[in-house]
Amino acid sequence: MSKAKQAWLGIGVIAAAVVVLVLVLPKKDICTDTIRGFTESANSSVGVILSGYTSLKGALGTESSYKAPEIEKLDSANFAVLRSCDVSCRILSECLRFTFRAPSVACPQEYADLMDKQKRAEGVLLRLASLAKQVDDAKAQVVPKVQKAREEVQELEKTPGATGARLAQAVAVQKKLEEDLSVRLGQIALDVSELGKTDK
Amino acid sequence: MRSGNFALKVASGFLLLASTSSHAQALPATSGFSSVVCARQHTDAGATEIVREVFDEKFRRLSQEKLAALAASGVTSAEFVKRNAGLKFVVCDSPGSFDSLSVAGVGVVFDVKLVGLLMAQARAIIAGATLHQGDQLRLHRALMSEYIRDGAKRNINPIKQVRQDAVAAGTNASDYDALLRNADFQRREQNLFLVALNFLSLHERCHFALGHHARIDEIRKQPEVSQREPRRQLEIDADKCAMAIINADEGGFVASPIAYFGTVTVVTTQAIVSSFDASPQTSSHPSSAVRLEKAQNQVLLFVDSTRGSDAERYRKYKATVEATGRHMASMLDVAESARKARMAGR
Repeated sequence: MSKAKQAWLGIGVIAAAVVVLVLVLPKKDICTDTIRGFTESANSSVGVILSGYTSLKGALGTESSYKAPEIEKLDSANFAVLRSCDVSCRILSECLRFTFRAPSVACPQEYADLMDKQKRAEGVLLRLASLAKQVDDAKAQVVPKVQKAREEVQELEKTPGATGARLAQAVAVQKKLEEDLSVRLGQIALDVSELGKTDK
Repeated sequence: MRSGNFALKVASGFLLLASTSSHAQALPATSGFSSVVCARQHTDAGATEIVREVFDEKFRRLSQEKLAALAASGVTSAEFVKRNAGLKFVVCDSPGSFDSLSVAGVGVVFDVKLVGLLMAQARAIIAGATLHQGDQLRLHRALMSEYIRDGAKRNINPIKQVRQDAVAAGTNASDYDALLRNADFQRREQNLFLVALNFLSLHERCHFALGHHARIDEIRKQPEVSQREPRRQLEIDADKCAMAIINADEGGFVASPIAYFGTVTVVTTQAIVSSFDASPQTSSHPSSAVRLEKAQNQVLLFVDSTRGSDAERYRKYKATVEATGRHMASMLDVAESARKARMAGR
């Protein structure tokens, strides 16, 4: 075999290897980081909401006449918009595999679809963050007050009085705080439920 | 019970209640009372001195002179003085509260508003009996009605209120003021007020003497619905114990039913409080009607002891107790109607 032929064969092998590598090796998605950011943000908010709601429910206590509604199963992996965002991202990445043009030009349909999904995901994340703040604020503001009111009632229950006025007053304060807490818990549960519906 | 100086302090106490100045400060940490039972200490020396005279001095004299005999006759227990030894008291200004509390191992908290309302009720009863012979409880009814109607604000000055009610009922303001300066009126008014305060003080001391704090700890271990009746019984027992001591104390003099008026003024306050309670049926206290009925039966039994020796006095006392009972029953109806109307309007 001539040297020229050997050279061309070598070039061919290298070219074939490059093609195989291009086809076989996983490519970095153009939106992987964004999707990961969405997931982390959602996980963080969901964690705050779930632990805060548990604390608020605990503050209401089992003996209260007010009951906290069960919160819907909240899991960032279940958010359809985040999953569809991930799918759209992969589709666009596939589409962009053999082109070096801008995504909006090379794959306009896929690109527009991803942008739409991202926008919706950002909306859901904003609502989750807002709900997390709401739960966190309630936890910081209401729980200590309810606990203090309950301790006061317990102390006064051990202390007989002539008219019962002080205990009645403390019980009324505790009931009012528990009522307020119950309303807040109901609102949070409703918001979680609404979030689930709009995500569908 | 009282020296001339003490009578002056009581009179100044009435004046203080009619003033609008505030005498309160944070409770010192060394007091032994928590801020839950006493939001702020009422610092006016006059009010504290009045309570000290009744809670400490009157009780000390009673312990020395009467309690041994009362224990022997079964009215109190031999443990009474021992269990009450070293108890402290504090006069407090806790917003919107009309109560007195016996704090285990420490002593008794007196809300200044309750003391003031007892003073005002004594004035309303004695002034009413003097000014309105045909309707002697008129001023008491007016005072109570005002609290039932507007007690939520709890900023009524009860001493001023009695004056306003008297003037509204047709008494000339200068005649009313002259009545307040009358020595006989002052003696009767102070006597009734001090009996009411003594009833309150003994009610709390009876909680200690009867071992109620330990009983409460036991009761609190039971399910909530099973706690109410035993808790209420403790209050009935404390009322009964306090009345028995006052009656036995009075028995040496005229066997008057004055202990009953002490109960009436305290239960009146409870009725006012209950009229703002959404669910008085869950209260730790027996209803005002039950407390009054028990007190009335107890005092009528006591008054009955004079039937043989002085029939005229017996008839007079019995009629007084029964008329007061009717007055209170009608006021409790008013309080309950007001409560229901308030709850319906919520």
